[in-house]
Amino acid sequence: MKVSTNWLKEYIDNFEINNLNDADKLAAQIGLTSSEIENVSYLVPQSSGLVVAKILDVKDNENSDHLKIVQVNNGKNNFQIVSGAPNIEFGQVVILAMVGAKLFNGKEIKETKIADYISSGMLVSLQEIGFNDSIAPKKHEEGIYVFPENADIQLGQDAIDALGANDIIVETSLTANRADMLSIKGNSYEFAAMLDTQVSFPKYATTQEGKDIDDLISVEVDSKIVSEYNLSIVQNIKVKQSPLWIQKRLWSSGIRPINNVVDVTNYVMLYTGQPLHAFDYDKLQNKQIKVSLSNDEEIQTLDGQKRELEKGKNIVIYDGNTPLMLAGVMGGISSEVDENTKNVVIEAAVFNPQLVRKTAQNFALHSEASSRFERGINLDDLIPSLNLSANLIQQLAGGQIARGIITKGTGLTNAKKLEISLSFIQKKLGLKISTTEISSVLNRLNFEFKIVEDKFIIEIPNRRWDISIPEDIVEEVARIHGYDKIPTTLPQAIDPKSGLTIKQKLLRNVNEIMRSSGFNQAISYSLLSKNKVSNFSTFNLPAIKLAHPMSEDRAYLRQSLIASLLEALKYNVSRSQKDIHLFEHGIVFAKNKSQNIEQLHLAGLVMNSPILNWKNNKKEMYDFFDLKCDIEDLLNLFEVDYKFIKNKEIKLMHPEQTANIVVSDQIIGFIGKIHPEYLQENKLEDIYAFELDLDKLFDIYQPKIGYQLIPKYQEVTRDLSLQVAEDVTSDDILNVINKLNIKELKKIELFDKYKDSLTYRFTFNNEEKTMEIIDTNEIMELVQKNVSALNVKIR
Amino acid sequence: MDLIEKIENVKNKIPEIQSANLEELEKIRSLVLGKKGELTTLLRGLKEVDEKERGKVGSLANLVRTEIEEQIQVRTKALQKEIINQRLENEKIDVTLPGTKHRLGHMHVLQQIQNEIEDLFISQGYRVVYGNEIESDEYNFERMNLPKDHPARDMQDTFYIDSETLLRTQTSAMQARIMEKHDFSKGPLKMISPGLVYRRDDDDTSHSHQFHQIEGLVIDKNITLADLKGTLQMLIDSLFGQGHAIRLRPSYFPFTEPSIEVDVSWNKVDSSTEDSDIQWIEVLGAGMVHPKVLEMSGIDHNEYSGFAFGLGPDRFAMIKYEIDDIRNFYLNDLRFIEQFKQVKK
Repeated sequence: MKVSTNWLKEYIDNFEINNLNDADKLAAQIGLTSSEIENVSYLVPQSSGLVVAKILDVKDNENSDHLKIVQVNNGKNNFQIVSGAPNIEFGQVVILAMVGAKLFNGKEIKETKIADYISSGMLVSLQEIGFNDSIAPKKHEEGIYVFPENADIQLGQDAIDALGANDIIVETSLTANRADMLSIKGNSYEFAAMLDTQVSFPKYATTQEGKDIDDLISVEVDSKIVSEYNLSIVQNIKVKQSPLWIQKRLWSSGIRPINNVVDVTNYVMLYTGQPLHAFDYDKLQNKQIKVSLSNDEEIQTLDGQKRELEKGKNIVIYDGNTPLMLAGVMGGISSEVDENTKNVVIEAAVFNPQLVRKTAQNFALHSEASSRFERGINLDDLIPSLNLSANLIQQLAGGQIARGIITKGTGLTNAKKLEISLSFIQKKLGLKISTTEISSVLNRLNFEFKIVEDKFIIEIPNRRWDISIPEDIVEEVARIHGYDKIPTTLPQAIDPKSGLTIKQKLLRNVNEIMRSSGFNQAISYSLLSKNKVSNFSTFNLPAIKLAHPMSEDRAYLRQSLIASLLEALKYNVSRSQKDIHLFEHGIVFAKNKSQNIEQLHLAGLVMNSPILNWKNNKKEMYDFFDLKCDIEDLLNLFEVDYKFIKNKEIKLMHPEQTANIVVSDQIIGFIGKIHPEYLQENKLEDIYAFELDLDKLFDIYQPKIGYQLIPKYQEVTRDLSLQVAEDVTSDDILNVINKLNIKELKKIELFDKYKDSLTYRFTFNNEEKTMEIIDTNEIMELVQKNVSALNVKIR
Repeated sequence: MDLIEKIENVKNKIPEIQSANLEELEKIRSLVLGKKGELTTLLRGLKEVDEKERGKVGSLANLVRTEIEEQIQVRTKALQKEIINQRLENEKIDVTLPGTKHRLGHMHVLQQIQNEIEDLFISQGYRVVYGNEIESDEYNFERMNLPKDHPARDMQDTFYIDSETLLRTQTSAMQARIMEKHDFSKGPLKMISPGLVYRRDDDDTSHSHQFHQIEGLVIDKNITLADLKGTLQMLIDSLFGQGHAIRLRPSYFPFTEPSIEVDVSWNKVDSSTEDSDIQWIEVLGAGMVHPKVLEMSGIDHNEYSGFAFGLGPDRFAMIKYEIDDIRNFYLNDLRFIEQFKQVKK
């Protein structure tokens, strides 16, 4: 809320805010006790040389059809001004920028000659001296500003001061709970508590001399949607410009003055926080007010927009069956107060906050009224606000207030009472605060309370919607007493499940392995477009779509990490990055009927564009086997047996260079080269990729405790060269050998490959004795015999 | 020539030794000292020498042998040294040329911060919980005391999947899931829950539709606001280094009461620092767990109390490293990733 410090001065004792420095200090204090501060500034940027002046004479200029020659007086001297303002009239009190005046925007006023006449100064509009368009009064939208009649100002007075344009505005950024701080009264209570000073408000008396209100209008309400509904009527009024004092309050609060009726309702709303609405009695056809839920119908709101209403969605005020306005959000044009209005109805109500919120959201109509209804209304000020409005309208617009008010509703609730013990407060805060200190806080907050034994029994004023449980009082004590006085301690006990879980530790190790294999960790976006989301997916299930995506690019949840990692890779390629190694662990998603599946995956991409190695001037290209080695390192961490089985079926992957990764007979992922067609389409160099299901791998993992004895006897190695037909894989050969279950055979490694010839190195070790040459020969003969069954030749 | 003279003459080989190469040295050794060598042959004639002279001739022969051996050894060592020096010369490299083995990769800066925070809280007896990214409206909002149509929901514009399912907007969604399962007879609940969250925000320098949060939650008998303050100070000390002050400001979250915002001083602060010289930066939100939140998870709020906090590693990293655009974390430019080697104080 934009809070006028000038206005607060009327109610808070010793409230000394005389310059921006004072205001900044105040704002800092508010930030620590009440609310965040959005901004602290003068109402308008400051100008000098502006005075209040009166127009003594207006003459046409024979050289121009729109320029006038005006004589003005500033209380001492007369000046001749040439002005083009269309609204200039004899007798007006206006703002004169004297010769030498410096306007906020740097403009300096000089004596000039316009259309053959000397002009010693300039008559200005509010916008010309820095007022925002949104707060400048409607009446003077075109032309210069004219002070209202009987304004409490003197000729020659500084116009900035006269307009209250030097008011310092403290703009708070309120959290959803502080309904009370949406009013000047609420802010006065709050700041007085903070500053440890007193607050007091004037009292008003109402004299109702008009007709009996029940003879004028009838009301019917649905109490489920409007808990309180009150009307007052002021008859025989004259709508005109408001006096200056009310205009000043409004524009300081960011609201544009319109006329004395609308201005009063806004003024009272700002003062008490109770939204009020005034409408033209004579424009009601039936004089039968009904508050109920909307039908399928149309309504034209005050902003001129036609709004389509849906049955049962909004609270509507009807006259008979004619919808008049969107309750709590915006009035309707059909009953708008205008300059011809003679009799006015004023409404003070409490509408259902959820419905008001929905309507405001639905029509993007977050008004001053709706934001207050949403947060909560101070019931104590409901009727007083209605009476004050009627009073002020009668005072400013004349006429008589109708006798009585119409009151429909569930009745006012009494103030809440809370019981809270000293030890409760101490225990929650961890602070040895005393009864005296707590009493002082409650007194400062203007809360009525008594102390019975060790308990505070506190009456919570209705303005404090946010306080309903003892913990709320703890917060009041903490913030008014000061958060800086809270000591610092640490909770000592330990959670029975403290520390990382095995899976969390494994994930950290996976990260480390990837990092030491040269991969950089990426974190990419989970949301992808429809045509990318299922790329490289191993799910046979549809992707999950957002109900209301912000854009087509981010409408679906990724089904593979490679799909989103490729975005990162392309980003780097387009920025001329070479030798790209990226990995990511993250969640992939799929929809299985009504279930949403989440899996933790790990994926990596390597794009190794040719880099000259300065050592041998050879272009060393990364290939399938480099990536396979990295994955083997990773799988070895889990002490599992694994296999790579060629898979030609994975979409977008190279059919001849892609394999499933199989662990304990489960496919946990794949590795391979991305399809050349995809690479070509996207203008990319060769990319090798892998993706695997970490959840599955973690589940398979069974830590082996213990260790194997280091062999006592010398290891013996033998080599075997085989010429291999195209249809025989390395795994075919190894499978044949492994099936022999040779106890002494500890390791077989591919030692050399030249064209179709493979050389394996066999490592033998006998745990009981040194291996004899004879034994080794025997084993090798057995191996050769069995391998020969395959389509291979022994060399 | 008598025997003595012949023995003396063997020494004439010395200049030859001094200029020989390793191969020649071996030859000389064999010619002079070998079984059939010159000196060996001469010594065989010793038995024909007069008995009185024999000792004198014998010791002369030994002297000569020793000298020849020494000379050979000296020459051998010198030659070996020369060979090593030659090798060193041949093996000269420019040590400033770049290394050629593959480079280590880098952990994402947010992962580094997450690991550091995890380790810190593990040292304080916390457990670590990773939740699901798809959450129900119930756990994300309602169990956090944010019923449907609560105005505070406006602060978290949500990606819904259907009316009851959404992408979690806050890691607080893990609070209720852990609370309702915790067996308090075994000890307190102390956890942190890091992870990705999603909001319907337009991406710009300070907003991202996807970002990280780390939720902290402690529930036990007698947990106080002072415990929360102490825990947050510990966190700041660990992430920013000792000497940075924190201050608490009132705030509002439906799931905590009291609720606070926490600021940290950008500069280091001691007892002599003027208030006006401290530059405060908002870093996280926190508070004492709302009794309704405890109640909804079946915890007696008269017996137990707790605190919760939620911090954004993205924001922490931005503050700590003065990163000006949150999108850097998710675009994965290698030139960005590779700048962050390890956690810095």
